[in-house]
Amino acid sequence: MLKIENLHVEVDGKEIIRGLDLEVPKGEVHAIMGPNGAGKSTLSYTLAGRDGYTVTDGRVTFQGRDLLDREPEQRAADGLFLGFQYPVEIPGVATLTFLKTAVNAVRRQRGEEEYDAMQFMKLVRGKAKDLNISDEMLKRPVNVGFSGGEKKRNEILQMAVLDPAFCLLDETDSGLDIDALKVVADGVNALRGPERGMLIITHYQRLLDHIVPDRVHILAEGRIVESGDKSLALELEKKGYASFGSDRAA
Amino acid sequence: MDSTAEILLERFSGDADTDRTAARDRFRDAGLPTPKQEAWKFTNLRPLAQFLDARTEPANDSRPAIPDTLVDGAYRVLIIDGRIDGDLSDAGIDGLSLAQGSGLQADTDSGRALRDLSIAMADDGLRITLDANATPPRALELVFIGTGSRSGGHHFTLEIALGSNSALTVVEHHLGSNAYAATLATDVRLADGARLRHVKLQDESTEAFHLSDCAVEIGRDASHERFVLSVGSRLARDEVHVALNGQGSSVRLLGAYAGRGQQHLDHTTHIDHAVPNTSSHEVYKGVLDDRSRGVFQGGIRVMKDAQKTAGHQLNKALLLSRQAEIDSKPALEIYADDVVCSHGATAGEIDEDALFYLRARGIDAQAAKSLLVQAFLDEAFDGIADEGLRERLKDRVHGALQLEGAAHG
Repeated sequence: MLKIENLHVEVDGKEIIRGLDLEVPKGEVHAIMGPNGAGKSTLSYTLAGRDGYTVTDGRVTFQGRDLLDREPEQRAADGLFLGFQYPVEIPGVATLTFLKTAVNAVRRQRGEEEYDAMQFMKLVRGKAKDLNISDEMLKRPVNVGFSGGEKKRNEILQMAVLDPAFCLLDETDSGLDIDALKVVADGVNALRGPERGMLIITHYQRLLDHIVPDRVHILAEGRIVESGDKSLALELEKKGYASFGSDRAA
Repeated sequence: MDSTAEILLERFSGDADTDRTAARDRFRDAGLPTPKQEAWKFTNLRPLAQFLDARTEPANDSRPAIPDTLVDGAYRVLIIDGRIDGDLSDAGIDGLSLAQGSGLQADTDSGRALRDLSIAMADDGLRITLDANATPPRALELVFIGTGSRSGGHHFTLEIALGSNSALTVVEHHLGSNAYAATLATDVRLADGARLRHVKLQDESTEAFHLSDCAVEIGRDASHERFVLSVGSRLARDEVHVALNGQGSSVRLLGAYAGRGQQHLDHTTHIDHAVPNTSSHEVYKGVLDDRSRGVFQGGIRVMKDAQKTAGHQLNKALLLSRQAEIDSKPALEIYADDVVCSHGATAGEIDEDALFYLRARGIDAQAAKSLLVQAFLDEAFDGIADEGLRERLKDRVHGALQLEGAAHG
């Protein structure tokens, strides 16, 4: 479903991703673990199409199509969803307005009919309830004044509403206490399915207790240095990143 | 006396209206303001002079199209090229009366040459008076249309006097086509407990000049709320001078502006807190694209006796292009000691993080930009109570900036 081959990415003239290969088939959940500075966020921003992340070599295909020449909004419409490590605050834009604009923008690009106000509210209310998101929160400006947990729950709500084919979650566990972590993990697990792929990027193993991956990859200095099943995460937790070819161990 | 003033005053050689003599004499002495004067440091009127010259050939001579009202069901007065069009038959309802003619206090020396110019050269004027305790349910809408068919520009005076405990909404809609110079001098007087909402849409032709000077006196426990949206003109100055003369009086000045091309949009305000227990609140938000230039000058003066004054002022500009420019000059003079005053001015670009976040959710770059621009301006628009009017003005901003309406999704 998502196939990355020999990817090289530069940021501000500095090479961060250095020949990364990875394939996530549909129906599978993969995790990428790595220390600070390994290139985790660079990978997620590159896949989502952010300016300033220059691909100097390699290719990425998503559902058989070249991903890298697509605009960020086209990637979203193609079904790629990035859950941000640091969700952005947007003063003045109500969360509901944002969600509705986004879901209809995606539906329009997919050639689907836009939701009217009633259909949209019904969809959002159901999903929001599962994530403990109140109506009051939906009326507030996007992420403004939200706690860390609220921001991450809001990311999962967007994911649920946009119904993407592939979920890319960048350090979704950062800034969460254990209760919030469970709510977020339940939200993610609810979206697991045979047609959907997921890539979970994380520094710590604890998220993977709640979202159990099919495969675990270790990212160090811009490339995958080790891959294995879920037991690799536990091994990593015990031995530390140093034993997996990183000299910038966490 | 400079040559422009000389040319202008030829037009009035036969004018025997003594009320205007003082204004005319002052203008003759002062001439058009130049950037050497502190109040005109950022706005150069030199290109205006030729449009004030009555000997210039008119550009056009056709009956203009009349726009829809901005507020549903408003009383309406049309002012075409500085002259009231038709009769004032709506007058005399709900305690509201409208009279043709200028009653501005020409003998008062404001020290503002453009105000003197408008008064001295006024082609026509309108006096709006509202009885004490009257609260007309409908707004009064003044539609000023410039056609470019009269040489020498057009000049108008407006007087708004509200009786005690009365309330009124006045909407000004300025629009037009072709090149012309429009000037307007306004006096607002609010008796004790009166409330005036004043909404102005400056949507003049982008070849036109728009120069407006508004003086507001606010009595005890009276309040004034003003919103101006400036999207038109090649050069515009919207100047407001507020005197909070009565205890418990308050003013809210809100403004939004959107500049494109080489537009020059100047908003100059001055608020005098003359007595104790008055408050002022000011928010101006501007979006500037291409090579447009914005000017904000905000003066607040708190007199010695004006204890317990609250004054807040904010000017924020969003620059959509590297060539766009904003000059912001707050000026606070505080002579009392028990006051709370603040001011702030910022200029910034579109938040790239926010833009990417929206795009990553499927919203295309143009719609995302539009959503962020609207969100930026909203703080100023929130002051407009009438929802229909608010939405029409928001749509106008999007049209002016050639952004698509994003919030309709």
